[in-house]
Amino acid sequence: MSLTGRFVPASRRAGRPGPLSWRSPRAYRLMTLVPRTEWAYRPRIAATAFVIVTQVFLYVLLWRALYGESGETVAGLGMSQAITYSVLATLMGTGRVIMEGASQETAQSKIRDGSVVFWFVRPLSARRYCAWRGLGESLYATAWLLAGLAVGVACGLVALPPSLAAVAVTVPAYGLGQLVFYQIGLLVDLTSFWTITSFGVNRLAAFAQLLLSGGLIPLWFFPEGLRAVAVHLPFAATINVPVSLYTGRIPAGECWPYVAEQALWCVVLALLSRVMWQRAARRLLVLGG
Amino acid sequence: MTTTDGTAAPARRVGRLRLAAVIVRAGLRSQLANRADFAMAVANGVTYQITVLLFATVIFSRFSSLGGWGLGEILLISSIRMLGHGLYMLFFGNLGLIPHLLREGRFEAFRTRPAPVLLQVFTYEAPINALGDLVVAGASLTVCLSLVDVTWSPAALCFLAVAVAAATVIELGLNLHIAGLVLRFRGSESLFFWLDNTAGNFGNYPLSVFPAVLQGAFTFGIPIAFAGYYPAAWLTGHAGTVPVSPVLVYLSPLVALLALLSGLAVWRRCLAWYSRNG
Repeated sequence: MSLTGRFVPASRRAGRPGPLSWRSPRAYRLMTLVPRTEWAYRPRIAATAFVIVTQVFLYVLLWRALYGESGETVAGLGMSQAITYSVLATLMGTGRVIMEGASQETAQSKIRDGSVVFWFVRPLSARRYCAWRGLGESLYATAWLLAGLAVGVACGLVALPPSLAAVAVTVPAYGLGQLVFYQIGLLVDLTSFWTITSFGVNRLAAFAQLLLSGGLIPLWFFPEGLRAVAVHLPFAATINVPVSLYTGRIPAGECWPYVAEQALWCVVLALLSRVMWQRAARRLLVLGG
Repeated sequence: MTTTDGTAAPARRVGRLRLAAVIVRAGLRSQLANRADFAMAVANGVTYQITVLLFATVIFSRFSSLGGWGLGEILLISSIRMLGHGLYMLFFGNLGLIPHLLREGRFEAFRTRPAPVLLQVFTYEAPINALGDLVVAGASLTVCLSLVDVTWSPAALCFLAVAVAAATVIELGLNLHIAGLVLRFRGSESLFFWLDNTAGNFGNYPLSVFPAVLQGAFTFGIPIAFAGYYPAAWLTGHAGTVPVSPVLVYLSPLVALLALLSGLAVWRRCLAWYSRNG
């Protein structure tokens, strides 16, 4: 297998074979790929739980200590809101970073060992294959989030949303955020078709994701100039928007510009990834033909 | 190393260094083959350190009083830690690639070759992103030196150099523990991320801002406070305010040695277990 600029027949292009339905056993198997991989390496689950719990604990102590020294509200966030933001952002951000690539079903690893060719000869397009696998990964991450949320609320670390309206807008915002998450990860992964190895790109994207999404520090605490830019980047759509809606930092009545921006990023990134899939498939050449 | 004629030991050491240099050169050439990824790797080091600095800046700008430490003094803590991290990445950063080496089966090859496994791990790939780490750490130290009111006597400069070396060794020791665990418990590689994240985000502040439980954890559990805070406390005249005892400000080299010995012991034990069961 090699990656070249040669033309490849339509039968090997991404997106040609038909879709799968929700009820298809194949779709189900693809969706459970990541959870099953995690289950196969159970120490991984224990390590993920350890990392998330200690990170949450550390951030809670940090914010409590910092708020203890200053006033009630900083950058529009009270202590309870900041802690809730931090806990949810850690659950959403750290968890995803850890499990990213857990299944090793990434273009990067497949290109390295040459098995990427199987993505393009299956009766399911590579694009849909990755989409179903990504959906499973997202649902698995959501299970971690919900478990952490339940424990956080029970322990008094996470405050409940200020209103039912906040819940109502947080749920679709979270869904859109997960879509943007998937698309960003996919675009980064697809760069392997051009760079062959994409460790550098992956790490860079992971740090950008963690920092600019609000996964490390609430974006509201950023210096004004940086925040003005960061809130309009796709990374902010993944964590900052849903968590800010949950905590009430963005009132439910004012959510529409933020949700609309999330939706816009979904469309833009989906179009971009579609184009990249097509071009990536054209770069694939197997045994010279 | 004991030898029969008394001359073979130095020759062997030189041989290993030469071997390491040859492998690193080959790795560098291999990485230069993918120019875009090479550039990204350098940028990655810069981004990581900027992330750490930004975190510290945001915290400082929003919460101005951090245990009585000024911005320059806090920057000194993070500069020592970041320089230590940069040097760790330069010489030993490939430890974090062990999960990848295990998955691809390359680690098995390391065990069959007539060279130490750790040496082969350290030289597996040219540590490109360490360049970015060191550039930002150096820039941070330069800014910090212009902000802090410290008389840089030869003793202070030596203390700073020892502190940076200790920070490097502490990070190596802690990562050796995790590398051993990764050999013993497949799938536990997220602990590398955890250590990096914890040291990067919580190792840059005066311990006095944290509650007692974290002060104890960062001093006696995962001693990241010795990789920045304690030496910086001596350099900036805050030795009297450190938790537990002012003596701790001098103990970074000793803690580094203990962390390294403990890490090597865990690594050897887990490698032996892996050789039997891996």
